[in-house]
Amino acid sequence: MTDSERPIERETYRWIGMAALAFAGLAVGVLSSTPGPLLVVAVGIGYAAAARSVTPPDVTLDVEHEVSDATPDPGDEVDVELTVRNEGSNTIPDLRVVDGVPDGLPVVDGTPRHGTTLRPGGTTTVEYTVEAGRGRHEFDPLLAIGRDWIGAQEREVAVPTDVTVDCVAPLEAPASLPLRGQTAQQVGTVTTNTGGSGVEFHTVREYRPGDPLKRIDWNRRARSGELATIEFREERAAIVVFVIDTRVEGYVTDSRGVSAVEHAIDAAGAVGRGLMDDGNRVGVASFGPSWTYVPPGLGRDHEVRLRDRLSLGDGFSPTPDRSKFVLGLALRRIQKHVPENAQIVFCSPVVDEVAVETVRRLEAHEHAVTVISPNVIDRGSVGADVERLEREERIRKIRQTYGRVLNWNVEEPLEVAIEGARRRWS
Amino acid sequence: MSRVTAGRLLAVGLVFAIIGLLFVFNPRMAANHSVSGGFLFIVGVIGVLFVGVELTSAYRTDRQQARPRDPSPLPKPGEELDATLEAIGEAPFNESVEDREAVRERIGRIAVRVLVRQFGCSPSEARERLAEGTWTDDPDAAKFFATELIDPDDFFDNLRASFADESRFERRARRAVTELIALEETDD
Repeated sequence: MTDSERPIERETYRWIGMAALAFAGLAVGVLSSTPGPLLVVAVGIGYAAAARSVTPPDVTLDVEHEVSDATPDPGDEVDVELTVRNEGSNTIPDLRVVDGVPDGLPVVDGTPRHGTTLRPGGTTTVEYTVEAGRGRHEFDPLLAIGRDWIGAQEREVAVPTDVTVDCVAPLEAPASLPLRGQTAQQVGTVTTNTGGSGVEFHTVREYRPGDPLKRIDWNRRARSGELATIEFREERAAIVVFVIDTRVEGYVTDSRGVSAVEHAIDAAGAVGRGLMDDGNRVGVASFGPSWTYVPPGLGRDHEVRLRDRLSLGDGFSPTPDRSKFVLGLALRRIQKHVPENAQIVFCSPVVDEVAVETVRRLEAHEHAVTVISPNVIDRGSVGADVERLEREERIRKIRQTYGRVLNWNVEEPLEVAIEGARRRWS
Repeated sequence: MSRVTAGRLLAVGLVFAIIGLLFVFNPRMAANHSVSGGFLFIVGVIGVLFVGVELTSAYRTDRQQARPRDPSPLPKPGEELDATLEAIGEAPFNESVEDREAVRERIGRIAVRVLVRQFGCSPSEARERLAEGTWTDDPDAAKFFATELIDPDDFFDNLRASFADESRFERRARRAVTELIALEETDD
């Protein structure tokens, strides 16, 4: 790729002060009538003058990347070989390049920076290794700076690249999160307030011809001779959409540097798989400036689609989208796409009041909302402790007013938090 | 100054420099060219003036540099408040009054809710307790919210504070937050 963007020319200021030094020598030499300092002055003035009259070299580069694996698994190490070729007709005396490694790919070996002299047609190679993390990682343009022979002037160019590393993370092992009451018609595992077949006891009614034998209350029959039929809470399939808080605020990290969005995606994957295994229909949506949505569905193909979109969807980027977020617009998008009878599992660290307001407004639109809130706040500093107290206050408010909250300390497995929540909710 | 003008001046300067060098290494060439002391004095003064001009220009120059993008780590919750507290500790008192008030107000909002929940009092009673410093036995925590002077620091307190790693405001904020957490944890 030879196109270079935004060339910037500027002084390096390497020789700044040289003219002042030379004039000082001149003054001393002349006023004291000693020729020695005047000789030094000549050199100084020469450098200062040259620094103001040279031009920066032409920086026209051809850049090629070779990655050892463009679709690695999370945690894999990927070798990157960057080759830079001088396509210009002049030597670049001092060339410095910095490769545009995406934030989601930390460099674990070598360095993406390099400095060299490059003759016309000459090439130089840089090798380094990155560690793959979930997401689509597009390399930024390579930054190249060329300086003249005395390093007084420089030209900066950004050379675009088209390298992408796609890292798809598998969905976590299925986890079974109890959901709220449901109205959908297909058979599933979410209890309703209607009597019928199921597991949880609902009521006892008079026997009607045709009732299955296994549901007859034999104890009552033995006591009083009456025939009665036990009704269980009918269990139906739920439609569940995981709405993941991908606003900038969702990208706060735990002590290991893993963001709350990563934890939220892990939780959505695990609980979503658990729900789909039980016959429920599951979808996902991002809740940030970028929008990614997978409508509720079921089956192996759908599970693969969920996995791919959670890893590579724009809305679930491993780094925050810093464009403007408008709460009203984001909620309208949810209203437009998410089915009316769908439950919503809002996955958010709840580190600001907008998260509480979101739950309130989703509930107001008659979605049954459950919040999965990864707690990434470390202890130990005043700031962290204040954030923790504020977050607990918000979670208390959601629990008391709007919906269920699974407060998940990310230091422990999700299943442990779910088990604790199951006891509280039963 | 354009690069062309600079180049021309450089050429002129080089010619003079070569002549000067010839005079230095072959003084006989300079014998026919006498220079008065007054002229030399003026050249010296001009040299001094140019030192001033160059230094001023160097000082005023807005130096721009290439800024390669460094990986920007994602924030940890509370980092911003910690940075504010540190800045407050380092700033002179009269320059940090607004920041102090903002931090006190933020922690105060939590404190009122905690006190209402733990002591069963009304929000106004909670605020009163905070202002009087009667909500805790910890004198530092009490002083963080107190609007009245309670238990003034003595000479040794002031001496200790001047050698401490954290400022008095930071210490009091930390103690207040620790007390609030302790109150919340009695609920668990």
